[in-house]
Amino acid sequence: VDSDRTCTEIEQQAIASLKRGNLDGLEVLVRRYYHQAVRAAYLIVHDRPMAEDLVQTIFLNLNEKIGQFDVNRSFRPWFMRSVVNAAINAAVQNEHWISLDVEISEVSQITLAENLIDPGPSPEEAIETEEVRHAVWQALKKLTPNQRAVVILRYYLGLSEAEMAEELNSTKSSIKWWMRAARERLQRLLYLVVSPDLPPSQGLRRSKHLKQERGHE
Amino acid sequence: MNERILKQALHHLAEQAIPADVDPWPAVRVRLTASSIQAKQRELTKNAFSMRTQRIRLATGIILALLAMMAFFLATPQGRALANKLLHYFVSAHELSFPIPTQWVTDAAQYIEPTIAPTAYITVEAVTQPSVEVTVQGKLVETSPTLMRQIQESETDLGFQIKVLPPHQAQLVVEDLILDPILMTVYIVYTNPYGVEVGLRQGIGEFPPENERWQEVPESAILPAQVGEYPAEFVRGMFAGTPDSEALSWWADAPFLRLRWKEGDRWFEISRTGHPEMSPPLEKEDLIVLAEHLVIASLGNGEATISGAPVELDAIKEQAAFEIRIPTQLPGDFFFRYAQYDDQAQCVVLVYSTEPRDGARGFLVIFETPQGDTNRVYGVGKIISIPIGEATGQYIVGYNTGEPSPYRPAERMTWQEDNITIEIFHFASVILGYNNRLGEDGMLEIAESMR
Repeated sequence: VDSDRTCTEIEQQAIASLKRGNLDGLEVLVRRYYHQAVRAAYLIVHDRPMAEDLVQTIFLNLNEKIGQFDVNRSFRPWFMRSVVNAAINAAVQNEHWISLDVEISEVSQITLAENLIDPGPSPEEAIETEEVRHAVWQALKKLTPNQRAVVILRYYLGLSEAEMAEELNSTKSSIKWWMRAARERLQRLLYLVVSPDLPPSQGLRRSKHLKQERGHE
Repeated sequence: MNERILKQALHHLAEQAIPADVDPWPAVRVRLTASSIQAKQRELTKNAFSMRTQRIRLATGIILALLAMMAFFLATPQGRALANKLLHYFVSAHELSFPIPTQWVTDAAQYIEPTIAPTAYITVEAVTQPSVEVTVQGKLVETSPTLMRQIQESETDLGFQIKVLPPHQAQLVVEDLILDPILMTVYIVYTNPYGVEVGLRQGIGEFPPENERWQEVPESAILPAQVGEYPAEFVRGMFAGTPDSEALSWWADAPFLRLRWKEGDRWFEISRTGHPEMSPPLEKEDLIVLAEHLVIASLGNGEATISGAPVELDAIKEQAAFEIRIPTQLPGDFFFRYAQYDDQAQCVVLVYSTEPRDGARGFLVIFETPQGDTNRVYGVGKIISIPIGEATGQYIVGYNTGEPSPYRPAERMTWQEDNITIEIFHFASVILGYNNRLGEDGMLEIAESMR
């Protein structure tokens, strides 16, 4: 607790210092949040140099933007909102995603499903495998940037829906809708591999079914 | 779907891709400096007049500060003691002015002509190869394995690892690498399209003795500094003379900065010069940041480190998204050096230059900026309107003074065509070894050849 309090005090001092135009405060914030911010951005844009670039740019602009920050609020969600918004914009511009309105074709589902299915291991074992991570990675790519952002905010940065609504300047119902759409999409893409509720045999059956369908084409 | 598994997978993916074993602050700090330089550049372009006034005020302030410091240093025992303590890396000059050595006069006459007229006009001629060939030829430059090999060979000769500037520094590219096998030093010169020249000199043991008086510095100009954990010394200014002077005097606000420090048995010097009309002023802190982020060229991504700029026109063409115009007429001894795409200004930069003569190069830099206006105004000079096809071009010479000067030979031609602003700058590296001028006719010939 003492350590957390010390960190918070150091952070508050850094922010106060930055607000006075002293860039020394920036160093503290960079060391504290850089890696987490780049990781969150990376999960959205799927491009490390781009993620690093946009996080560095946000830090560079922090000097000007810090005036807008309310010191009575927590810095992390406020800062991460900038990161996530910038990542969404970057991802939209780069079109590294498939629109929500465009359903994944059956063929690509089959291909993806084939990649995802590993009938052998239990979920606990599966998490250790590269396949699961690969599947999650591929599934993230299939989400829109907004959906990807809510998944990252919720499951990587651990924000609540209320915090997400506040930080994304959106309504709670919109967040819920995005979350639902994102969850559904992820479920469709991932359940064959990572759902503990789904027996491996069912996954295997699904796999065979898809392969048969593909064989008929 | 199991949320725990999803969380674990996300964390693993993120941590695998972005390990936390590297301190992020140096990279951000370097960008902060670059950003500050660009901000200064923008400020400079917007407030050319006001900046000039500020510079005059700053220079006056510096001179007054230097005088005050000098008085302190020379008048008090504490000052003298402190001065002795400060002097360590630079060779101290005992006078603020000294006669120009006789042997210099003959050599310098061709550079320091006591007239405002240019010493020589140069003519424009057709490029012998088609543009594409010029492009291919232009690939020579900095990323060539030759330079990397040269660095590695130099390291073998010198017996230490050569440090270079970190990559992507204000569009700087390696201009030259000079090895002195007698003094066991290596000198790397960087330039950028804005007339900035950064020199990085390094060696082992003690700083070599100065062999020219103009390289000395007055005690009062030496300021203590710190490069990381190492004590350093910083100097702004240089000994210089006016065309009609018989002596060189200390020019305290010259756009010439030097920083010296030692790391164990290694010594380093970073110097920086630049055209006041074209490049923003740098401060002591900017040099220190550069000094703190030198990298070893032969380790890691040496190619990126020593280039710092894209050089292939084909790559630039993809970034530009508009048709780049390339001159088919150039001054006789100019050749294509490299091309860049400036993300900040969103323009294409083509750089041509001469081979160095007596340490000086002529530069011809072309900026092509889509969407009409550019704020790239570096100073006010004498403006002559010239028709270029359907457009009206402006030929500008004699920045800040309104008259051509042998000290400020920069000239510029600018016009707009098809919603693209094209600017041609002709200038010399800051050393007074190149004082040629194309004149409005020469610049017009180049402009016409780009249409």
